[in-house]
Amino acid sequence: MDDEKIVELFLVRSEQAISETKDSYGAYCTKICSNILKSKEDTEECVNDAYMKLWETIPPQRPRSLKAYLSKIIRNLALDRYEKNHAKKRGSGKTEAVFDEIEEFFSSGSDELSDSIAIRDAVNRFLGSIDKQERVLFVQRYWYFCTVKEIAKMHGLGESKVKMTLKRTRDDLRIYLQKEGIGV
Amino acid sequence: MKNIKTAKALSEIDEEYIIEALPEERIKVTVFPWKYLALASSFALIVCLGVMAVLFSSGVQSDKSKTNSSTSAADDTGYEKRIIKADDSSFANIAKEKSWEEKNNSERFSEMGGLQKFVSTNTLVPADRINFSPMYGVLNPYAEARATDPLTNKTYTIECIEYAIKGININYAMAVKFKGEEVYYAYVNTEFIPHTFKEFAESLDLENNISFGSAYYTLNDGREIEFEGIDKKKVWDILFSDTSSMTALSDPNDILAKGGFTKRVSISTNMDVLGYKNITMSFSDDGMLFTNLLGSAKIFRIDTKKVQRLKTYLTSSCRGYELIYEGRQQGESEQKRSSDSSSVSKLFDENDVSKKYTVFEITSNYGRSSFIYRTTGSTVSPQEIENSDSYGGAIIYTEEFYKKYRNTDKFYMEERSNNSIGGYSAQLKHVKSKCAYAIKYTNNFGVVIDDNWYVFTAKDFSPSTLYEYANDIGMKYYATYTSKSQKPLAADKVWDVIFDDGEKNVIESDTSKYDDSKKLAEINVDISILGCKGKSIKVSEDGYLYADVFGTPKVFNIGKEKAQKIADYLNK
Repeated sequence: MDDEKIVELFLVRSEQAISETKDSYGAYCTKICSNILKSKEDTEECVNDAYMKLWETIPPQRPRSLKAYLSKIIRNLALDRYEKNHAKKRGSGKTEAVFDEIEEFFSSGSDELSDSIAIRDAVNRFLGSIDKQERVLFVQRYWYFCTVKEIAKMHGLGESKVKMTLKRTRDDLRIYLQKEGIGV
Repeated sequence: MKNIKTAKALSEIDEEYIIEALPEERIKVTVFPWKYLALASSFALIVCLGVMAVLFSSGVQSDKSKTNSSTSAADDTGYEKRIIKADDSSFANIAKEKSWEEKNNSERFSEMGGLQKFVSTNTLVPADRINFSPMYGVLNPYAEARATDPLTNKTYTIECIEYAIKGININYAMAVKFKGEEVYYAYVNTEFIPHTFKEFAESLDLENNISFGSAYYTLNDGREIEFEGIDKKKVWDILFSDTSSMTALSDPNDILAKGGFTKRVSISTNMDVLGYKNITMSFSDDGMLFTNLLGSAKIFRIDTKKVQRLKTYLTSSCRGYELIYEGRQQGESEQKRSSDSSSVSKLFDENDVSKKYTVFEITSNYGRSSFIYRTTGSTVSPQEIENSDSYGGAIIYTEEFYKKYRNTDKFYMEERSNNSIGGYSAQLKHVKSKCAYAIKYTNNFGVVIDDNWYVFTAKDFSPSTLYEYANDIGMKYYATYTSKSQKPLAADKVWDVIFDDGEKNVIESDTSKYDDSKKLAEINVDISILGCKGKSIKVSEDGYLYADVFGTPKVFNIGKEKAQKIADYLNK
């Protein structure tokens, strides 16, 4: 069932909306969540919470792309859960590696974060200005939390090539954000 | 954790980039012949709408000097008659399909973009309207357009550059320069639907980018009066000086199909930079604005008073002509009035929803906590609402359904849709959201069905201190006080004496600590915005303050000295 029809089911408050969403995007949601949380139990809870959030927000929201709307919800829920679980922990792990990389966007030693809207807008402008492949790699790594190996396989590239491209993009983004006065 | 905050900020990047990078589905958008046909028909529809508008305004022959002497006095509108003769030569030009060679590039490659489809309006955008900034203006320097000639089935590609147009949001329109040319064509996103008129107007900078032609007023019997000499600034001020409540209706095509929109006034509108001429902007008496600017139907709510003021302006300030169409019966208009007024009332069902749907909840912490709000039955003005340009959503339930099924599986089953309704939620100024919300009822399609903001309050409010109690329910701004002898008391003085230092006065979990037999003083309190009337605050000689102003009765430890001070003030 396409997104528009599923959204209509939400609008008319039909229970079928949830089951159709599960059928269409269950695996997708699980994938996004498990990339961040690495825990089956947490992932399941997060995914169910995401469906609940959809039910509560549509209407009055009427997303143009249900998939993108759901992606943002589930990503935020997963990050909330991750933050809660790891508030006091430190350690190695595949997700921690991504966060370490994300930290590079900001100058070392910077303790303050700019307003998240400013970050979003600046990152959007930056992403719009770079090459498509660089952008896709960046989003797959730092939005979808895909591993370098997965990304390399998807694009038929070597892992070192992916790492190099990501590093270059991170450096460019850091310079860009500095120019914008964010994270300096 | 700073990097998690950064990661969360990245959640809000453009949907286009999120979808572009989908890990397992890498969709390449190609133009198939049937898409092209659908596009051609929608493009033809846009043009036809424009032509129809042309027929009713400047593209037709008219005879200003003739009057229709056969019109009886009883039918006379009082306006000079203008005879309209139909000119259908333009239809012939539109119907003819050009060959590939005859077309320019914007006609050949009339669709651009992957995930967001942009359609050519075959309009040249002046170079001084193009944003050439490498960072913000050049949207895609390596774009490629692809199209298939429907006559030969041959596929062509061409390199091009996509640019932003100055003053226009890139989600709505862009300019394209094809390889080998030095001109820029306008492309618009016909599928981008704004949530509010404010968003629409700002994204397109309508105030500066549109111009108005004539206005047309449809009488009850279908006759039309054309008004000329519209002052754009005056009309803009009447209609759009305050667009805060002009939300978009969610299914305009459905509304139009069911005859739910009846035009009273329409204004011929041009947007030259994107190639729109004689596009309609129409208004109904029951508060809807319809436009097909950007090639798709959009309907927004508009205050009925604005429509009335527009009508008054046209009839009092502009020169009008009654239009007589040759070959048509007098009184027959192009857009017949819907005789089914019940379709409108079905759409806007005002079946006293405020009495039927009275409970809503907000959940947090992954659904583990709920805050339950119930209606007070009272309403507030929009001036008492915070951030009226953007509201949250709400589902409001009947009390019976909520009480019976809230903690059961049935709460999410089909019964829910029969026992709940949608709504917008907004915060009240000076009142914390944990205490109260304002709700505007909508149907389940997001259409507002009652324009009032109703106040809902949460009774399980648990302040820690007396100050928090008074501050969170907005007592400093809204409470009025009277003594037991009904003498009004100065609100700011009462605040100073009782609440200002209330941070030190903690709540008592045991309300029996207040002993009414030891009461020193009492005042009456009203907070009408929250539906609190005839409530009381009492102090006792052993230093306790009792308040039943909001929610369940609460007792605070204020100490004997303060209790005496309050009593001295109140008993003075």
